[in-house]
Amino acid sequence: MNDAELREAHRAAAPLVAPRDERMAALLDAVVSERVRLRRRGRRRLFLGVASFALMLGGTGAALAVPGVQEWWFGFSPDRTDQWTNDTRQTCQASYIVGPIPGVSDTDPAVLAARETLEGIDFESVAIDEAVLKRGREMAAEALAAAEQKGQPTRDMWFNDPDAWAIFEAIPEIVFDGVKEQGLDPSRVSLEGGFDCGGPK
Amino acid sequence: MSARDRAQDRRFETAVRQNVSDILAYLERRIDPAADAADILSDALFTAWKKRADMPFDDAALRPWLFAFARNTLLNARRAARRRTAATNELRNFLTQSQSGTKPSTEGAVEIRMAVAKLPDDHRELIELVHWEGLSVAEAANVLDIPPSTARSRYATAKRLLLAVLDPAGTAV
Repeated sequence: MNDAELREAHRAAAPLVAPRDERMAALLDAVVSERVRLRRRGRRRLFLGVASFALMLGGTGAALAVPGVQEWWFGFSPDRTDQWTNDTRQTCQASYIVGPIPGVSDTDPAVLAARETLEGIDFESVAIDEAVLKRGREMAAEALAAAEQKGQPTRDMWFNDPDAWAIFEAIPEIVFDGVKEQGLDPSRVSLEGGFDCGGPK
Repeated sequence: MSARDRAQDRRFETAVRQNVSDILAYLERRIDPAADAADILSDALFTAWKKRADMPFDDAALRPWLFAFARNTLLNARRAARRRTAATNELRNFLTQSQSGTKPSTEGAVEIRMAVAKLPDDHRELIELVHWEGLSVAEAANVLDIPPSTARSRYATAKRLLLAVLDPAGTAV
């Protein structure tokens, strides 16, 4: 048996893979399109109104949305703040605070790793997960319908922009992954975040 | 978004589209059940996308660079909760219905698989990257994050060990 024969024998013994046909090509195209985005958000940011969240990362990204607690950032120094002017010329600010859960030191390696991850996030390139975006759209539609039914104004509702909300929701997941990637326990970390917009409309 | 960023993103997407089928095959061969390859692929692509600013300038290095994300994601694949997108679910279903991941059971195939299974893990992983995925030894070295000289040495050793089992009469060239 020579090298070429060995190579061929080994190749032939490889586990089979699914057929690479048109169906597979279409499925792969869908996955790539969903996970690899050419488009970036640029400066299109339409956060309207107010939203905030507070969660322990051990619970991962689902436990978001505690609207109305934006006062948290008064008296605290956020670990990361991003400011921009949205399409309606409002000045907007998104801020995030990393901290330990009760009983954990502020210098715990997981907390430090979370801060480091948060610091390193490029907000302009945060990917939007289609599943989150879809959920955001559904939430927005439901909330808008409910508000309209009650005759409430909908102009300042934060969930008017599912795209922005999906990005906002992605931040805890990125921090969670960053802590996990360092082999540390994200459940020792809490992450609070909020955004608010004000000024001329 | 600058023109440079757009060019970088286009280059990244082109590289992904050129290699995604092979990366999926790499995962299918190493995951049981093979349908889980859809999840790992999805996570690996997302991670690679987040790191696209670190893409190698050399086009020839893009393939092993992408494979490395698949390998690293595979090694860290046991995350408790994974968010599945619609497209990933579709691909999972397709892989479940196919014969993906099953192994040919001819006598020769069984013999060689047993011989390969006896190799040290780092040698086995290297020779599978070269023989199954068609990577060069240098590309496999990039995927495994080892020096090319180490990869060449391991590859030669792996072949020698395999031939000693498969061709004990010494007809090997």
